[in-house]
Amino acid sequence: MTAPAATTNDPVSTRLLADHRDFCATVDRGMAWLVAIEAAVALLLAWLYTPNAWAGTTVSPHTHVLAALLVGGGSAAALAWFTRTQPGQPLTRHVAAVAVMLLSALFIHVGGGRIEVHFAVFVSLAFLAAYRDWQVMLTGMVTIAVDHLGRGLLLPRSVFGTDTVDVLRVLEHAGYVVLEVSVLVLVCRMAMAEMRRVAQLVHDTDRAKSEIEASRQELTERVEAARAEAAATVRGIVDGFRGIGASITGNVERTKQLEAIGKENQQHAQEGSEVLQQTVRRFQELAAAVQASQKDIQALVEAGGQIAQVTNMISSVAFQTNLLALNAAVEAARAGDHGKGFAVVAEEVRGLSARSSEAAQQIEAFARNVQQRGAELAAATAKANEEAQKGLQLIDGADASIRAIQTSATTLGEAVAGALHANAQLLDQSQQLQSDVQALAQ
Amino acid sequence: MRRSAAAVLAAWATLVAAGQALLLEHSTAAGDPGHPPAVLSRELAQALRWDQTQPLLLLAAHPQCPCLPATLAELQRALAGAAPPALRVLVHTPSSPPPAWDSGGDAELRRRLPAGAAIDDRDGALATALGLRTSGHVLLFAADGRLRFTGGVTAGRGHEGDNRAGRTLAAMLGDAGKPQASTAVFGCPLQADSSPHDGPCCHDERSRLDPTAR
Repeated sequence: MTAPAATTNDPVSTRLLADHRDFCATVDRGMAWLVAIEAAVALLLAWLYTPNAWAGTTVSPHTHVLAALLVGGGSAAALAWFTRTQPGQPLTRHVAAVAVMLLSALFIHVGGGRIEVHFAVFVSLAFLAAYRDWQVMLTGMVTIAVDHLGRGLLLPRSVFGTDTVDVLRVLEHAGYVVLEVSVLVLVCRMAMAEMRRVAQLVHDTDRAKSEIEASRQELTERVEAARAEAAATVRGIVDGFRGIGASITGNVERTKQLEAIGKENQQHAQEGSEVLQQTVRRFQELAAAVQASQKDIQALVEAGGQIAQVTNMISSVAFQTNLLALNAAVEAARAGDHGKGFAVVAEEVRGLSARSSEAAQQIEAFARNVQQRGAELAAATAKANEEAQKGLQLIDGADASIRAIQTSATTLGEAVAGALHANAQLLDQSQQLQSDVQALAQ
Repeated sequence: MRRSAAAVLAAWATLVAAGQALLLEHSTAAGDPGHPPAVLSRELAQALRWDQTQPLLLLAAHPQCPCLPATLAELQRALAGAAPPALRVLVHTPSSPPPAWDSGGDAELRRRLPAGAAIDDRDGALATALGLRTSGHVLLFAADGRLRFTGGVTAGRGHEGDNRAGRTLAAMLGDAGKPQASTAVFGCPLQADSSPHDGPCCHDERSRLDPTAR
């Protein structure tokens, strides 16, 4: 696994390149700070341990200070410039590799080739591995190799601390460096492989995310369309409910009117029933009166008969009285003068008898007339009673009908009241449902 | 951008090359080898408080020179295991030290030296009389006053570590029969008018002191 190529059409490689560039830009900044700190430390150590060079009493800055300023400061400045202007670029990390190795060489040099200072090389190589670019490792290795080779030839003690250069020692140093670089190159390749896997994962995730986003967008559009459709439907339903509500309201009004009419009818039926009852009572009273009249008439007829009997008796008495008066007149006539008074009385009695007979005849005629009229009246009264009974029966039928009407009106009223209640509930439910549907639509 | 990058790279390379050149020059340029006497005079021996009963190991030291600790370390290494000679260290002591002069450095140097070894060399007069021009210059005189070794004991300026000069001195300390030898000396000049010197002077001195060195 090498550092990703700069030109590729593979999206994963493109992402890997971008990720590695961003990562290296971060490492660039770290390396710039590291080199700056190392340069500062080199300068500080040079200033602490060899601040001045002396010639008698004449003092001048020590060469180590100048060298630390030139090598360390120059390296730090160069790397800072590249880090600022070309962050994440391959050239910048190669500059970092050279710079950090030059600082390590500087430490080794001013440290007199002490073996401990050589650790700076290995530490710096480890730092460079942060770039995950094996080519950078090679640059670092070549830099320190050139430095050691050059100074080993020109000034071996600045590298190994002694003028005696042992080839095996050189090879040992080189071997450690090569070994570490080999391992670090392997680590870099593994790290890049891991980065590629991560890039692949991120790419797959992004693709899945895009697909999900597209699906979400489509779903949103569908939901929006369904929502609009539902809203239209809901509006229709609401309108329908409004219509239903208006119809129910109209029904309620009409039912109330019907209820009022029903109540009025019921009232009328009640009144009719009461009138009928009164009529029945009147009819009954009339029937009773007719019956009573019938009885009175019967009694009158009977009384007429009795009057006739009495008149007969009176006529009979008057006849006998007349006979007696005749007898008396006969006797009075016989008695002569003495009988004159009596004859007058007998005359008077005979006149009275005639008048009684006449009155009896008149009474009898009257009684007969009364009897006849009573019979006719009884017949008429009987007929009237019969008619009254028929009327009563009709009234009873009408009363039953009115009661039935009243019952029906009551039942109708109850039904209307129930319908009113049901309509009211239906109206409430309709309004509630309308509100719910509107809330649902929103 | 490419031109700017190339310019920056060129500037950087120039700075690094200059720094490396400075370091290389600083490390490899030997100091003035001076012209020490082949035989130490009685007057100088007395000035050095040397009774000539044993060899004399003399060191010219500039206490402010940052190269001196390496020289002292190498001297200590060369003296280890050998019969201890009389050690004298000419501590360069200016009569009018400049403000940058760190008197603590002088005290530290004297603290590290054996008792009686340090000799205050006022304005470097003794060193000048001995022909010594560079700090870190070591002279080994035999008991009879003959110069046996002249030069430095480090491989470079301030460079501590095994080197040929140190080993040569150690060998001469252990074997009085060794021929006279000289090495390059690395250190700060003892006088302001001294300048790094190499080449003909060293070979001239070496040839003057040791004809066999030719």
